[in-house]
Amino acid sequence: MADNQTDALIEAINFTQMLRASVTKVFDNLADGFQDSQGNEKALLNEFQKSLLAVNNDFNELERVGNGLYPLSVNSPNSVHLSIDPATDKTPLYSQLIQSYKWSNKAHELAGYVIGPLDQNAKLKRSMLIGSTLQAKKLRRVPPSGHAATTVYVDNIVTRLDQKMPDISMSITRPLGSSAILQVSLGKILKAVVALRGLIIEWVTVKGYQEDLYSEDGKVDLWSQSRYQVFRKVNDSATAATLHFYSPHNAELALQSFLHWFQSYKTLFSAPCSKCGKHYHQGSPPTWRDLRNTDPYHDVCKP
Amino acid sequence: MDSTGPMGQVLSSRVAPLLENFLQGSVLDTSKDVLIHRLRGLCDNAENQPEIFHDHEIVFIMQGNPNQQPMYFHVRHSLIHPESWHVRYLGVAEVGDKNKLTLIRHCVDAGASSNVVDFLNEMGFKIDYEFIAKGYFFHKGRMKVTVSKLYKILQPGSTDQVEPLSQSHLVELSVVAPRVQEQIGEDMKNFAEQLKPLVLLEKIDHKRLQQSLESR
Amino acid sequence: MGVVCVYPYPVPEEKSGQQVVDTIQKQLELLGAHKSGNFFVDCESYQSNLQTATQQRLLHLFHNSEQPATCFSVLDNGMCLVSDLLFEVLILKLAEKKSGKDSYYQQRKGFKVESKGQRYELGDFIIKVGSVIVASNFRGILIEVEYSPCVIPSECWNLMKEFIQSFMGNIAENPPAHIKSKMDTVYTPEDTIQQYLEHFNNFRKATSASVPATPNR
Repeated sequence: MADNQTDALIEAINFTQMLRASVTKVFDNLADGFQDSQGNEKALLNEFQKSLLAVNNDFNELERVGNGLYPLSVNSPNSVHLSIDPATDKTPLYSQLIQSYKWSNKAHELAGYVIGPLDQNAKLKRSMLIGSTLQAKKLRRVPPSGHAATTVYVDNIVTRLDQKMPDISMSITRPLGSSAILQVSLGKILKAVVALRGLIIEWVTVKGYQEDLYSEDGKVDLWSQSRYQVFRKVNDSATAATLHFYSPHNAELALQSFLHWFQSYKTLFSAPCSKCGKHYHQGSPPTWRDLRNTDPYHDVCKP
Repeated sequence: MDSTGPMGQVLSSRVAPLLENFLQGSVLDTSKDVLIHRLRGLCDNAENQPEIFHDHEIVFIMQGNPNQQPMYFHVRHSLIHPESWHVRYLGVAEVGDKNKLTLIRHCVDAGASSNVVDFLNEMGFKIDYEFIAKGYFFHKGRMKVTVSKLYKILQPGSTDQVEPLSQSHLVELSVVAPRVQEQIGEDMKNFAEQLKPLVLLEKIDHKRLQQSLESR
Repeated sequence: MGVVCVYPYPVPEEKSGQQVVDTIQKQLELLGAHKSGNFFVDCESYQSNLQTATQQRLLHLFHNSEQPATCFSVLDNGMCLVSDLLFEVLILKLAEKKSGKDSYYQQRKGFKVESKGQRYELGDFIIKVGSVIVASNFRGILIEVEYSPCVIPSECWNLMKEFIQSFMGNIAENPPAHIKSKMDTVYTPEDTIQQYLEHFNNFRKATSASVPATPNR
């Protein structure tokens, strides 16, 4: 039975296609218009009638097959489950929506209260943001510029810092384009190489007073470690300090704070530990300096 | 050569180049540049500018009673690198027979700290003479060639006021080696051949030179 | 090359030198020091033989294994020449008797002094426990402590004092006499030699004083 049905359906589809083709032919002919130069009107009319007859035939055929089809059952297997779909009226959607709307309203309101006090704190750091909030909003989006300082600007700042800090002497070289390499020496105690990108500290290497900062080919040696344990420890502390003082929005202050902290190593060998009061501990003097008040401590005595 | 005494011990215990094979000659100032070009082509590192030197040499002598042989120490101080001081002992040059192709003398070189002049004075040395040598330095393998102009110091202690000793440059070809080697003589002779006729590098008998000067 | 302090370590009558050396070494190892080879500092002396000079000169020729390519020549007036090892050959030339001629300098026989022993490292400290030998007889102990990263004695003296006292007791109450006069200058290897010279001279004096009393020692 199902097979019959399918065959009949295919037959019907075929007839439908034939009917559409013949109808299209009639309309095509009509649309193109009949041009008869020889006055052969009859032949034209004949042809038109023939195509109309074809349409009629096709239609009759289709009607015949169509009558043989019976309507498809709507009870397809899955559709029965449609009945157990929950009714929208019965879900608590509305009350939940109300609830979340209230929540978001509340959060927005609280955020409004909070922005006042927070803004006041932010002004301490970014003094340039004082002014209208509109301006502040604009400025906040200004990207950090510490890395993009010009060479002249860096030179000026370094000479100024050099004069400001009597214990430190600094010189600038630029072996690789515009990035400055700062050679810092601290009395007859130690030396350091500080690689800058703009004004931001990228790398620090600490070595002893007698160690060479240049490699054999005469270039500044950024990478090799010190021969001495004590300077390797200082190197570690200094690297940690560069992260502590890191501030891309105010790179000048960061560099100055770092150098000020670094200056405290002029007493590397002579200052006793602030906690245990001794100089010597496991082969080293106190190699760690407090980042705020630069007090010396042994590694194990850190507060 | 010396097989007895402390000198012999040092010779046998430490490998130190102690014998200098050398040939000497001179070139007129006017032809010096041609010789320099020639040497640049012949020697190593032809692509670089020849190395220059400007040294102040002070020769010290220790003299005692007639039963003690006078002893000379040459102190060289570079005026280009003022931190570099150098003491050198040179023995008497041996001319040897026809088979020996070069002059041979004892030679001991030692770098020293800058107080070497005072130190030698304290040891009992006296300044014999001093001069300024200025010129070019080349090397080919272990052969060393110097072309130097010697200057007289007009005022003792002042290395600026100088006067050339002659109208020519001194040319020296030398190899320092731990012991006598035939091959060195051959190499040096061959090299000297290539510089002819610009300069004749020869075994110059210092003793005969001195005698002829004295007889004049 | 850092700051070096050299101290003599007393050897009690009832103990032998080797016993004392062993005790110190054990103590160092307990502190965490590890052995890093041997060391020596030696000194030979030459006397001038010049009639023309107003006074006789004494020249001490030093070697230090820490600077193996260098020799140090110290005159009795304290002047020190630092030079390549080959300078020694020049001195030997002066001390050489050739073809019946007299030499200008003469080696003093039986005057060779040497301090040698084990070298230790602890962090940046270098500790050397040396047995002093005068003319092949044991004469005492010299302990050398070096703090290698620092070149200014006054900067690291307190640190070194604490360290030295931790294994030697109160011997190191004051800096060595030679360093005391130049606490704020840059320390050089020459200063180490001057310290050794002072100690070696003391040992020699003690030797020549004690030789007639106890000839068997």
